[in-house]
Amino acid sequence: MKLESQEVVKDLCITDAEFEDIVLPGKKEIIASNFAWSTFRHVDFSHAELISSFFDFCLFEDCRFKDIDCRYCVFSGSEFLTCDFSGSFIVHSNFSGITSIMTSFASSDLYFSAFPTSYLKETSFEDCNLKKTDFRFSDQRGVSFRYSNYQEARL
Amino acid sequence: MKIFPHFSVVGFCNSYIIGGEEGGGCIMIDPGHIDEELISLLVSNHYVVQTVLLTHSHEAHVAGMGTLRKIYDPVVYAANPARYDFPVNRVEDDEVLSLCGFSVHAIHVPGHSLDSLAYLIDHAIFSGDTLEGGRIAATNGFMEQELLLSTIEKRLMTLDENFLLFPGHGSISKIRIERMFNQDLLKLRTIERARSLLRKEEDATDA
Repeated sequence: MKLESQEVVKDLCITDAEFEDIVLPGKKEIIASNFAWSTFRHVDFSHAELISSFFDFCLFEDCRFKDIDCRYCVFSGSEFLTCDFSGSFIVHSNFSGITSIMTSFASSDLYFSAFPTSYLKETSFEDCNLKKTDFRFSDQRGVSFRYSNYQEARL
Repeated sequence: MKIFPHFSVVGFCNSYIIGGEEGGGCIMIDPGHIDEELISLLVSNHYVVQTVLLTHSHEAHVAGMGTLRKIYDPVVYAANPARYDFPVNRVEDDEVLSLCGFSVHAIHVPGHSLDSLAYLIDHAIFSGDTLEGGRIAATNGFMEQELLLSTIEKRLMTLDENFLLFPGHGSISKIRIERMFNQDLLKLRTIERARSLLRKEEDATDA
């Protein structure tokens, strides 16, 4: 599968697919690709570079996104269950309408990313850069913003 | 078709480069600020800016035109040439232009400003400030807001829901996502319907 190889994934459109137990190689690049409506279970995206790609209306279960570089990506309408985005650089990305349960964005830079209309339960935004991060109309339950500049977010 | 987004911290505006696979002439939408990153993006992809499309005349979206004209001297298109201090070609509502090998459909979407245009290129819509990711543009008053809502409803929300949305501010989206999660649209539509009903009731009482 293309995801497991070192090869750059570019202009790939593979919607409504299922991915399970995959570890992406370090610094894997996914550029201008569309994975909408897919299911990802136990997929490790850590250290990957995601640019201008679409992961909308996906299900991410127990996935790792540690230290990713994510720019101009769309995750809208997706569900994140026990996922880990810690230490990532996630700017200008769209998380509107997501459901996030027991997921961590700790120590991430979320500059200009958007979480409007999202349902965030037991999700951690600790030690994050939340400048211009959009949380309008989000339903937050047990969400922690400790050590983050929450006052600079769009509320 | 390749689309390269570029975000500028000056004016917080998104600019877009639209070009072919092999470099050559390209289109730039809303050159808000021309910085080194944008120039290196153009150079590394062997693009030359032949055409600039302006969504509206607000400073954050046109401030980079001075620098851009010094480097490339592009042909510029916008809805109201009188609003600019450089040569601009007028684009009419529903006009289809053939630029840099792409078919560009201009859609007039007033509300945020009277000269607001959205550009439809293939399956991508460049909405300027009219429809931003998760929100709609700021307006001067209720009348403008009503106009903006109705134009978004009639002109943009009727497009295929898989069309990609590239706004002037905010993150990239899709028409489907805006239909489902844009709270400004969902809430204001309800308020606007109530206002419209109230107006009809008042008209009936007056009659």
